[in-house]
Amino acid sequence: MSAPERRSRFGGASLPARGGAAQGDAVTIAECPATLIQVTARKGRQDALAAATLKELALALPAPGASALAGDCSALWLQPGGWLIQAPANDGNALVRRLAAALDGIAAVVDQSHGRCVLRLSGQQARAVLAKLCRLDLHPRSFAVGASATTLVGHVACTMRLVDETPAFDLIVGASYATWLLEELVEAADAFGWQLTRAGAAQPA
Amino acid sequence: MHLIPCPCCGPRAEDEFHYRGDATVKRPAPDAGEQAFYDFVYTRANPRGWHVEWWHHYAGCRQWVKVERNTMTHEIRTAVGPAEDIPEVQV
Repeated sequence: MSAPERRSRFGGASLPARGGAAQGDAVTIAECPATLIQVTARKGRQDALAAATLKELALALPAPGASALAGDCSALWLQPGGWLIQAPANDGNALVRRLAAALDGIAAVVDQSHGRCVLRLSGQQARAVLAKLCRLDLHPRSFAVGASATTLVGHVACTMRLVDETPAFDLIVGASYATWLLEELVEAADAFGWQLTRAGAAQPA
Repeated sequence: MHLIPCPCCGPRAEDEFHYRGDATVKRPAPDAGEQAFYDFVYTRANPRGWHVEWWHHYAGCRQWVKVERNTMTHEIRTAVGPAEDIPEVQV
């Protein structure tokens, strides 16, 4: 059985492709389709989970507040014993089946690809935009490339990661909150100018 | 606004947490009687000073955290995971 087609979460927002004071591209907001799999270690199996993930994906599960990258797969720390695996969207549900088989009895494997949405906020003013919506200290000193955190962004629980020095942030949010978060981001970015990139046109991770 | 030092996530704003009540109450033995259970469910001290409380980090690591907070000054001096104990409260 093939996975149902993934729909854009931008559908609910009636926004132009660009806007804001500068009508420029100070900030780019892109929807990044991704395969998202939550793995949660069963009781006492955290070491086994780390070993199995390393073997299966060559991915070393990161410590709290961090993320790890291996090829086109990455892992984000969510909670004690829990991680989110992010992979390209184009493999249907092959990865989740592979992980479910490899982690059988070690961890709960839940496909969240349809339940979450990844918005990538990038551009010189990305930190200034996020600072209006969340309370974390985003200065590179305390939130460096690779850092991840689950926190409130625009009053919505959101897992975020600093992807690169652009800076580019991945904001992983519940799918039904994606339109809300997008509209909050656009409003916060209005002073700088923003552009939207819709699903499919997103740059690779 | 409190800044709660979550043992998993580090210092986080209070609005990422839900207050979940007094962390010092202990469930009585099953045969302890009606009054003991009434007190367990309803009767709470209202201390002026240091108090150990449950806070649920719902918008972060989703752990329940034991926080020692001063109800008079709002100062927070300790936060530990749910399985750990905070040493005897000194008022």
